[in-house]
Amino acid sequence: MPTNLAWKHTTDFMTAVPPANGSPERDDEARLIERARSGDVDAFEHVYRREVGRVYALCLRMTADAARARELTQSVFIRAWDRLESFRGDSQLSSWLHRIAVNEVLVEARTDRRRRARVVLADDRGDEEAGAQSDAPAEVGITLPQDTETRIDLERAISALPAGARTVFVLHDIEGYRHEEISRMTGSAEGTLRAQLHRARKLLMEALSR
Amino acid sequence: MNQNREHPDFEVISDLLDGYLTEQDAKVVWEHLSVCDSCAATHKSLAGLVSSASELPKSVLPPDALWTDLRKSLEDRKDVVLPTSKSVVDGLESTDARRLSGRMIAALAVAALLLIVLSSGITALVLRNGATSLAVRGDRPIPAEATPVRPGAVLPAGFRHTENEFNRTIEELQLAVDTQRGQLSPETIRTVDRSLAVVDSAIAEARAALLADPNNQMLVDLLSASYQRKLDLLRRTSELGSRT
Repeated sequence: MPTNLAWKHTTDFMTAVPPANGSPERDDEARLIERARSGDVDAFEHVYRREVGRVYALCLRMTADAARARELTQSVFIRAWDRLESFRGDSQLSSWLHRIAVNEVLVEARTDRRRRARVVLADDRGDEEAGAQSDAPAEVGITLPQDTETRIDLERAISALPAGARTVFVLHDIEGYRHEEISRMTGSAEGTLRAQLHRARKLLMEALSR
Repeated sequence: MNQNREHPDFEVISDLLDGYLTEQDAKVVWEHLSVCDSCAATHKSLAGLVSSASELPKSVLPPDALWTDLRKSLEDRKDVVLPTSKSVVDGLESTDARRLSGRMIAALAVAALLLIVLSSGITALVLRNGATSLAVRGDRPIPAEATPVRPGAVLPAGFRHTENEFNRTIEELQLAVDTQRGQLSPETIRTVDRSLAVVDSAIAEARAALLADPNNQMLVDLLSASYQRKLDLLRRTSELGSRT
């Protein structure tokens, strides 16, 4: 497990109040989107800078793989660029992007599982989910805030969870989705999701008590 | 659970925390927690874990170079046309009630067959000097395993992103098609499935060949064309499904 795991936080996001319709911030967002729709990459960069932290955090936690998280983050914003026409503005841009990100990660995970099932049938690697355990997210050169050790322990333990349990834990306990919403996103039954969540919590408690 | 001395399972405590227990069951568990230090400690630890998780930063910044790469991709994309979800959704929402014609089903199958014949032929040509000779046996594609792939072989870096893009779009279209299967006749479903199986074999073959010879641009083009063919088949099937 890498020891240089560190997370670059922008905590202002956590306390931010969503801008109301008609607020200057929302108007500014609408103008940026309008410019981006017309092909203005500079305007899209502003959108990217505002939202990339949350998208990347989600991708990083769900994949436990920094390289894949970067690729997925790119894909999310490429998708968003392609679909700007379909963004109607009645929901927050951040929520819209977040949905795209969740979908990208889930689709990528399914595709990856299928491909590995086809190509690596004879490869005796054991539990396919075990791969995640050696891929803790790693970023370097970051100053750690107070209480970071505790957070890092938790982040590290999350990254070591089996993929299915990790996905449900991240979506339910970190991102705050309810089981019925996760069920719609993943196509899994709510009972299955609850079992995965219990498993994740149990494994995390065991890992953190060591 | 009707007695306080019976320890609740971890799952029950976890459900209690999430509010998934009935009022009556929750009451029983709470009563147990009030007299059982061990279970109360589990509950407290679990509550702490859930609280800590919810307080983790929701934002983590990626390396700055990500935008540079992304910008280049966006500018490169101006000439690339891949089907978007919007087009899939538009197809699903179509109210056009035309029946699926036999000619269109046949077109799907013929297109797939042509693809496999062409791709197998080209792959065989490209790999003619390799250790393995590729050919088409009747209408059956040669499985990907026919092309030897050295351990640890990877696709060209530049193609991996493209392949991810194809796979995501294919996945979306596949989901759209899957939701429409009930609206298609069994004959149509069989034809579509056969066609898709043929195209999948073509993709697997081209992919294996590219893994064996990653610097071969012709194989990159061939694999891209195979993916594109699958997209076309799925898109047309999705459109047809929405019309029936």
